[in-house]
Amino acid sequence: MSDILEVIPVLSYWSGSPAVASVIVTAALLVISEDRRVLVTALAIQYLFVGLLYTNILAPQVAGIKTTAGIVVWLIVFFSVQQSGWRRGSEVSESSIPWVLGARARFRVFAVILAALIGWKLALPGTLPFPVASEYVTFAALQLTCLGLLLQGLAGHPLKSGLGILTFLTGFGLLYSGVEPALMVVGVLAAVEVAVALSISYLTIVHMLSSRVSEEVR
Amino acid sequence: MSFPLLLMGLPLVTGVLVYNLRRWLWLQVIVAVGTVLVLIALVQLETLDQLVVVFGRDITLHSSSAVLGRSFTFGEADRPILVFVFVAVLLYFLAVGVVRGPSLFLPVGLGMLPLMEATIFVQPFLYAALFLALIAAVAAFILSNRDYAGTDGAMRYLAFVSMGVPFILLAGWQLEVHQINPDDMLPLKRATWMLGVGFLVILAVAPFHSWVALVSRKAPPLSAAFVIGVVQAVVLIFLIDTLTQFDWLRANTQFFLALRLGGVAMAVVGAAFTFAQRSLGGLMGYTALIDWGATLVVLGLRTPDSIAVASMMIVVRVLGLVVWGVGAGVLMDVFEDDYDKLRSCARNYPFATTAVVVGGLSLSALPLLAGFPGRWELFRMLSADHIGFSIVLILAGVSAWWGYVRVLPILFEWSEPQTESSYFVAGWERWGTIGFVTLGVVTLLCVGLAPKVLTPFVQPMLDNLAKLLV
Repeated sequence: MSDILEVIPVLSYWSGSPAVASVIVTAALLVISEDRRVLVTALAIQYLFVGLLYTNILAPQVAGIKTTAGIVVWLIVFFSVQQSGWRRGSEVSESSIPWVLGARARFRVFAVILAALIGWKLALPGTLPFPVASEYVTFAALQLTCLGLLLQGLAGHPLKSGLGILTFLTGFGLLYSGVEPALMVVGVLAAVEVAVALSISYLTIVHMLSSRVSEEVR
Repeated sequence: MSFPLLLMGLPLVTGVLVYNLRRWLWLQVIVAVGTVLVLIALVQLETLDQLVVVFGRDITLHSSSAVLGRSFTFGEADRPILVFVFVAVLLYFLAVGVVRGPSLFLPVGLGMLPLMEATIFVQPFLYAALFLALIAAVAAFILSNRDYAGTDGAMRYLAFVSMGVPFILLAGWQLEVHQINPDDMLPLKRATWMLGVGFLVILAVAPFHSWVALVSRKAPPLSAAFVIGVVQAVVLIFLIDTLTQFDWLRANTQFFLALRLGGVAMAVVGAAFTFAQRSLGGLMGYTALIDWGATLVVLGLRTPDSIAVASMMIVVRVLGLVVWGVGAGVLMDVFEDDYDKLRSCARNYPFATTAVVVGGLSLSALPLLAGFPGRWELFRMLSADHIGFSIVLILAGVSAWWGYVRVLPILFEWSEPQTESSYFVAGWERWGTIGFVTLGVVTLLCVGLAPKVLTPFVQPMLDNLAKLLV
């Protein structure tokens, strides 16, 4: 019992600004990186910290449901990447030196900065008609929403595009939970995320099979 | 026992069964069609909320049931709408039996049925948007497969629906804020534009239309026809439900103006691209976009007659698309979607080719076909005050006809010297396809010649809103 009580202050620390920072960094990584190992790891960290952010606006039990849904979503994405391969067949390294950003990555960094600025501007008090349960949760949610939209716009591959949809839905889920914490709505939103993850997984596999066939034909 | 949960649970259970019967298509079709027929019979039950004796046991079918604080309610007005949805789904299930559709079509179709029903049953009904997002996610499984490996259409569809849903959910919250403080009109204004944006995104109004063309080009024809015809009809029914529920929204002329303008935008985009298409799928996609645009324009006119015409258009579109889907399914299995690959296909596949042409022309509202009476009625309604809109819609229709006129010589091309009697080579098409296409084409012609045949089925569908607009 005393162990659990010791965990609570630690959790409340991590569910604050460290969670916001982690969520923004991981969302930016999802946009910028092409390496699937980085994408899957970033998604895991993102869901972990989003789960912590939920504890600021929802009852711990309900936040637990969202965290569980996040774990399920991550597992689906992980296994689909495991099946389709950690490196894309057509992947070509843009730069021979790994720590030098290629033109595409530089463009994405610039786009991430712009999207983050829009998210920051929207989070200013009085800009959006949302009840602000917690300012930093709203800030993180808007960053996720903007970066998710950006990722959807930039990505062509079903996996990355799907991660964009998931990031957008996660951000919206955070915003909307402050507005409507009803269990049914939280549950259906979680179901939507799981369904989206399943469809991404399916489309990624279909895409991989078709690319493999076209490579064999060549 | 809860009646809405029974209606939603039955297809879910049989969907699992049908998934496990993948090796026997005919058995799958029998179970799926049987399930939908049972659902149609169940919807006709008049004994809700009363004690009835079934096989010696007392049972009460409750019209409403609460799930985690929200309710699923079956209302009297839902009956004709559900019958329409079930009959539309039934047609597609029968079509899968006659043309090699995606292997997951039947189980996924059965899995989508409860979600479509949930959009009609759920209260407060704006939560239906969540079920639309679920439908889009589930639809990915029929919009792409090994044979139709293009995933862009399914992804784009999912992305747009995911973008539109938050607006509708937030509008619902703004309405709750307004109910707490009825004097404050700001939440109502916000709810109006949020609903407007949400619906325009989900209804594929330009510039959110790109998924329609991608899905119709890259997805299996029957699946594309299903999503564009049936699923989008459910979205429109949701919009009409919204209008029925909120008198302030019905009284908002700007909302209806947005619908009209959105419809015209769809028609303009469709007209710009239809005539130049080089694929059957693309041709259907842009033609459907024009037809959907016409439906939004007629709905935006905000008269009781316009609701009846909109219902007619929705029903006729389902018929035209299922006939097109069967024909295109056969042709694209053998040839490909590109015009160059489809040369002379009518020689070996006359019925499938006829289905594609007649279904497509009905969609583009050619006179004497089923799509025309609704469009004609719309032109008549527009002629008084909105002559500009009718000119745009006429030009869009001509563009679609031109697209089909361009494809006709390709499909019926005589590649070698042939006499008229030896041009068609029989025996390449299955009897099921021939029967389905013949019935479908005859129906499209009959409805085109005598549109009143459909009135008893169409009239009650959206009657509630029509009565409110009198």
